[in-house]
Amino acid sequence: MESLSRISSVLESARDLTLEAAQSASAAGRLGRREAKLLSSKETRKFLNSRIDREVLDGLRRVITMMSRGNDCSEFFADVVKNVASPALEIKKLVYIYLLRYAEFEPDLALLSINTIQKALNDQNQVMRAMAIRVMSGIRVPVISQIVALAIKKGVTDLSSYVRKCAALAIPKCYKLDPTTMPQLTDHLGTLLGDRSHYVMSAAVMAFLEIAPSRYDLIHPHFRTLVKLLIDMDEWGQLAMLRLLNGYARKCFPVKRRKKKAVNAEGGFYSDDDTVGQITGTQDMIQDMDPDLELFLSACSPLLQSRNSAVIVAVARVYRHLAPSEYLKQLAGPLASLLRAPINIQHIALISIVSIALKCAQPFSPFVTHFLVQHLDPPHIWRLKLEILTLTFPFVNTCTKNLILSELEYFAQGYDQELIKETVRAIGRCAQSETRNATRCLRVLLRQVESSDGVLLSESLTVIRHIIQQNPTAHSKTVIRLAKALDTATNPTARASIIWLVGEFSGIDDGNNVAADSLRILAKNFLLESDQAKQQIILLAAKVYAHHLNRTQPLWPSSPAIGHDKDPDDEAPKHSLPLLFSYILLLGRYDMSYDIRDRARLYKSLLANPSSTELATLLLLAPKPTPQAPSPSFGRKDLTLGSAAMILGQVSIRGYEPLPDWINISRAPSPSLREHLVTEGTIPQGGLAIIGIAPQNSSRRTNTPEGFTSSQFSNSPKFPECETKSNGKVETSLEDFLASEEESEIEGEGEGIDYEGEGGDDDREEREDEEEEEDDDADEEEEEDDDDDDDDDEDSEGGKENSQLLGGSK
Amino acid sequence: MSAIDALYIFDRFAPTATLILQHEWRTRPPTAPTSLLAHYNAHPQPCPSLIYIPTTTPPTLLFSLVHSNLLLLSPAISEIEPLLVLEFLHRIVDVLEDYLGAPLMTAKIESNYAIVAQLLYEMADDGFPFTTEPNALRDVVLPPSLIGKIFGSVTGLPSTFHSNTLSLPPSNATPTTPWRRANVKHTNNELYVDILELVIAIIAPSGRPLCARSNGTIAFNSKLSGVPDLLLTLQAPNSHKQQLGATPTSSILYPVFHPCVRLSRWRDRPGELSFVPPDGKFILASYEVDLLPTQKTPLQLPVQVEMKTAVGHEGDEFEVRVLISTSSLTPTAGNGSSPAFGSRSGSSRSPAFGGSSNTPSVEEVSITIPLPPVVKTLVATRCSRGEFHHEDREIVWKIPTTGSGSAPSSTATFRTGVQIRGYDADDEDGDGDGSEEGDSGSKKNKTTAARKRRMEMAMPRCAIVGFTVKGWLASGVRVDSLKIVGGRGIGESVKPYKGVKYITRAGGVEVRC
Repeated sequence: MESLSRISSVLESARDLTLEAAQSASAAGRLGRREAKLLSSKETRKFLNSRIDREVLDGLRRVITMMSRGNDCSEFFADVVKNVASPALEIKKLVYIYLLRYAEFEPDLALLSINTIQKALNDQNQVMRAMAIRVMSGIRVPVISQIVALAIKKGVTDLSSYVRKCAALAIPKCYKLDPTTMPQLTDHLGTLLGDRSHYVMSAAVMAFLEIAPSRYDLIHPHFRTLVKLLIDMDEWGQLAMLRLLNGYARKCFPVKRRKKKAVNAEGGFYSDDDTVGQITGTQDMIQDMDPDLELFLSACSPLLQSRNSAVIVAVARVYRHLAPSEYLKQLAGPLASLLRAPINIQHIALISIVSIALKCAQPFSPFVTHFLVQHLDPPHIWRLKLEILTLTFPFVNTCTKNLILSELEYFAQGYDQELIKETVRAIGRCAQSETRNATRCLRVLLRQVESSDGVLLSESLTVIRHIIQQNPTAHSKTVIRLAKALDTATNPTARASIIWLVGEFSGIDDGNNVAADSLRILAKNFLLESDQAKQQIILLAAKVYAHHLNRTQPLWPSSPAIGHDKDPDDEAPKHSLPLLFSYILLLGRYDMSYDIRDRARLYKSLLANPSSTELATLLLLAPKPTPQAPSPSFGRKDLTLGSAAMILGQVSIRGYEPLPDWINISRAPSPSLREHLVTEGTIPQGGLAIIGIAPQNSSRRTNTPEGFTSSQFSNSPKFPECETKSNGKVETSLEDFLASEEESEIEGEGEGIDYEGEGGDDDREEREDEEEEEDDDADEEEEEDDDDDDDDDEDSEGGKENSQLLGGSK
Repeated sequence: MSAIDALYIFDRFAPTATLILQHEWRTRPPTAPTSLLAHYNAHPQPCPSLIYIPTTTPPTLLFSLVHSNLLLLSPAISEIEPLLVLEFLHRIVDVLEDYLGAPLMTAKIESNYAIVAQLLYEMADDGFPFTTEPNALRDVVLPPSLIGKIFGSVTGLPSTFHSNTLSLPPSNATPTTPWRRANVKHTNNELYVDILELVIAIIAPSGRPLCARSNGTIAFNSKLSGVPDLLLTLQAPNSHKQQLGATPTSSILYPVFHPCVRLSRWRDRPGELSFVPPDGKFILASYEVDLLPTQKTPLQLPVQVEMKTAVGHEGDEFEVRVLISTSSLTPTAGNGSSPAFGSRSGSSRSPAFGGSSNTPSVEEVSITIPLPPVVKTLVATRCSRGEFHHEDREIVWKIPTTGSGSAPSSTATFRTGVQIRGYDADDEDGDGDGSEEGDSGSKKNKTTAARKRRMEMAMPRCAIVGFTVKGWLASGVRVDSLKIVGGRGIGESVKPYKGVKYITRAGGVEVRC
């Protein structure tokens, strides 16, 4: 989405920033700066120590001004910190900002302020409490780590979710101060992850990623709630969630070999319930996706309408790395629409698109016209656009193929050298994809051969060579056409490479080709050729002659040396080729360039002796490996989508970790771990399967400003909050109070790990039941299950898996 | 792991780029801002938004954003999602403009450091984006205008001070609608919808459009008391040959929405935006419309350009003809040939709906012609209207448009000759080329042929058209209705003033030749 500032500047066009205005503005700014400098530090200090709030505030503003400009203000430390106890909010805030910046340099003095800040933790106003937690955890004085930990402990149970959010964000800061606080912090984190407010939860997820990104055991019980609240979180929370769940999914959803299970579960196992039946149906199609994974993937799809491009790309990452390729179809449109964004976001969106297209370009084929290069595109944009065009090329219809090729041709004839090079290469890549396309691309390229532009010409020839080398026999006519171009082409490099090409394919059709003839013509104007062309002519002569020798002496004559100069002369009357060869060598022998003389001598002695023909053949006519021109971004293919490492194409970025591999089924945590927290609330066990999985898919989409059409269960605590807004704080805290009471109850029941323990027990019981049933007839089992709750089916499934696990350990 | 370390703002156009603001959210980054700037400048322009500097210790990822005359740099020393940082930087610019007034300029930042510091402090906590909604920020940071009112001073020294006015109300810091500030009160209730569309099109030499689409953005300005619940209904033209059963707004593609919009409503009934708006200005949604839904649909733009190159007896001139026509935009002329411009006459619910939308006017027509590097200068340039400006490697030709309604269409012509760089040295070139010396007989022919070819190389290859049309949308989308359907704090009797504005601009219309 366009940023507001850009749009409003367009809407109000009268506000053009003229040069004059800018000048006057910067002049004024400099004036202001001088003014500020005139004020001595003494004066500032006087302000800071004043008894009048207004003067203190003014002094603080001066200090903040200096700080923002990058000047060192540590000299005012004592004077500033003195004001920490001021009741005025703005003074307090500015002091806090100052403290955050300078406390670590003056830890002793900073300690003096701690007491006051600690007091603020008990303030009536939630904003004050939150600020106190933020500043205390942020001042980076290691001595106070225990106090910070205490503050967090207090904040975690605060009534206000704003404070709880700050407490969540303080956790990583505290961890950095003192890693030994880790155990308590993880406990707090576990509590916060189970918070009812998505507001708190998103902060908790950020903290989780920061301090304990691999403790997935903390996530299991909350997984479904997190997925459910994904849509309600703010965009930054969504980003953190998507990052977390991406890793989580890889670690916890094994790629299952479904077959055995399918046999067991299929025949009417779920047949009593239509909705569930549908789910199993899709599961079979989508190679066995874990229902929880599917839940997550479908929860992501509304995020594709986020205004935040980072969220869209993060969803793309989820789909690219976790989902089967059908999901990519949903992705193409929203990603292509990121081209509406400012140019720096376009750039990253394009790289992401390229990275997906390298794996699967099909979904982008309807969007080809989005990626047409425009004149105003800067190089880093058009490079990517060209790449996308070539990647989608094999998948589009003929009409669009023509469009792409004519576009490429248009740009190949431009005047921007870099663009020309890149487009010709792009044509080459288009040709690589399919032989059918190759002829068409070749036609376009051959049209460029007549061009006078050196860059275009040499680049086209390189690409033509690549295409021909891929399938030499199919392109014998192309070589003829190229040889014809020798009559007109003037660029020395181009001539040289055409001659090389002709020589390279001189062996086709047993010598019935254009090579000997072009050699004859070239021999006429040998003197006028450039040095590189001369070299190639001599090489061509050697190749043609070597082929000739191979044909005329099919069996290697055992008779050794016949004589040096005489031999070609002897054969001369029989065939004109040796004659031609010796003529060229003669020309080369007396050339100005010693290099050419050397080469002439080399080929002469190499081919003079029939016994060395084999060697010459090996040397001159060795088959060349077919060159492959991979897409320029090929190196990015396996990097995690949307990461800085991928954008830069470098793996060595600090902190970059590739996504973990899919976990092996035998090591994956049991899905039942995720079951239980859903029951944590008041929902009875029986309704679990339905509420947990099926209908959520439809109701989760509501991004309602809750309170108006809030959905029944999860959002209900928010409903009254809406009304409290106008009434003031009393009711707000009441609401929070109620919410937190519920929480504390939950806390009382035990931590997340306990649930897992319980879950394990349940499973074991159920497994036993299951085993008993298995002894019975299969039909009976089905009937019984029909009577049972769906939920039991779910559980028994999980239990079975668990039983496998446990069985292994036994 | 993924935290934003710091923000540095530079003034790009001061004598030397100067640091005007620095704010660190975490420990001070090891690389000094000035050396970051040096690295940024050392990178070939135009600089991509993310560059990697391996030479610093530790290696730095440097994110950048250029906004008018400001350069925002943000370094990171470890892996972070680049778009997160960039979106955050854009958000900072938006918030600062919201507080300090647009356009954001050095002087404004310099005179409000205290506010900027507070804002940045609220927007991220320890490098994690914290409160970024402008409305939520208004709850915790007072805008300068308000402070100005409190102090009522010119000199900057406050005259009166009431500390209790500054202590904020214990606001609901976690509102259910985090984007809307609490206790909004307006004496005049007003609603403004501005729809801006940028037309992107590439037109082949034959006149056939290769691609044409319109990127729309709905900017909203809400000044309503309480917590209103609004319903905005968009109407897209249904005259595109649609299949039966297609929704009337199916031509609105890939919309993205402000978080306040209820996605389920849009999904169930596309075209309806149901939301509780934030207070003040915000971008409600953006979308795109394909202007060529089928191959046969003609593309009608208010400015049409025809280019002829290599004309004149020397073949060294080119000509640009421009046809400006509003006739295709008016509702009456839009029968059949231009289905996209549906009837706008129906929009007459409130006084503001009428006005310019009935008589769209074309403004700010300009033609930019990029020239190849071989062009030395232009000779015998003339244009029938307007003025042109030749600088460096492009011609900018601005065509004034007479006031709307006077002439339905008008034409203008621009013609110029081209002189090639190094044209005089042509003969020397020929001599210098050793290989060509032999056939001096055909040299003359060759040079003329070469000259002709070079002339062709000196011809422009495209023209970029710029225009602004007020009161018309290229896609034909229009606001069907805007209603207050519920909410609290706003009386039944309140009839807010509603205004709708449509603007279409060329956002990259390229005519090739």
